[in-house]
Amino acid sequence: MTATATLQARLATVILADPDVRIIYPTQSTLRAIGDRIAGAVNDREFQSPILTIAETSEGTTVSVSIGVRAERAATTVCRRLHDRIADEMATATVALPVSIAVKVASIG
Amino acid sequence: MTDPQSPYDSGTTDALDPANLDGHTIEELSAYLDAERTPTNFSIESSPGCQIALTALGRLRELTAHTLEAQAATEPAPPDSWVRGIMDRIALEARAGRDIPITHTARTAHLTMTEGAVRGMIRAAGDSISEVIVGRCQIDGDVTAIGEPVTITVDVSVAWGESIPLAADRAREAIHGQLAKHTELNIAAIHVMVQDVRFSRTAPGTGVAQP
Repeated sequence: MTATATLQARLATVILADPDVRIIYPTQSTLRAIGDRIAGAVNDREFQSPILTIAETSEGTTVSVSIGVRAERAATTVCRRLHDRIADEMATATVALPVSIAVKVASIG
Repeated sequence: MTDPQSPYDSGTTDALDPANLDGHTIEELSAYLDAERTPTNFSIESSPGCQIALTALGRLRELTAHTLEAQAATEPAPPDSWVRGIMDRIALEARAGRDIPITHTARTAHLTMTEGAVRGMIRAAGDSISEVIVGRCQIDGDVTAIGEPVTITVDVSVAWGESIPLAADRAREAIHGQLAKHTELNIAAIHVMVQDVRFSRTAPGTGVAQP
């Protein structure tokens, strides 16, 4: 397991531990999703994209995640809280602090 | 009664375009629901658009089941074209659409909510009113800019025998409540357009869903 994969798994655990998060959606484009479906049909197996993205850019590390949240609590509150938890987790992981943490709420309820 | 097709016309956008639902069609999702979501289809279950559409389809299915039960009470079942129109709208509105910003004081934060998530929430809020079924939901205005006024327009069908103004008010209140809870949108207006009067899923006048 690479360092990035380890961090991805660690962050995914933190996010899914939040009781207001229902799911982490794979980070992929629609075209990629269609391509994966075709490839999956040809090879008779499912393709699974990473559930969150950690990228190294010239400006620093960026983290992106797309989530579905439950409707009980305000989606905005959950979204902000996840940002803070990801930042805290990366700080404790003693990796370079990200320049950007993107959290997208893709479904509610 | 009005023309069953007009309020739910899917418009000029191709509602059957699989790109709207991460490569899936609304027919696939309907069949998947028929099969009680087994075997698990990872592609569908990991798509936010499909999840939003499945939830809305489930509610629509529940409604039409009540309608068939009520048929014996002399009310006609909704025509297939009416159900089809709503399914097409669900497919259109479930797509992600624009990113709506969520504020945060941290410079690292890039927080957003998809327009599809908000449309799905609005539809669920409207459908939660027992005498109302949402046919179409539209968000007008620049949702990508914080503080810009936006207008919500929802076309609904109201159950026969219910007060139309009261039903519209209840739908508006439910939608406003959910928008205020989950978003930072500056809501200038919520227009609830009653497009037709149809079957009931409640005992008339009670506002209580029938078993």
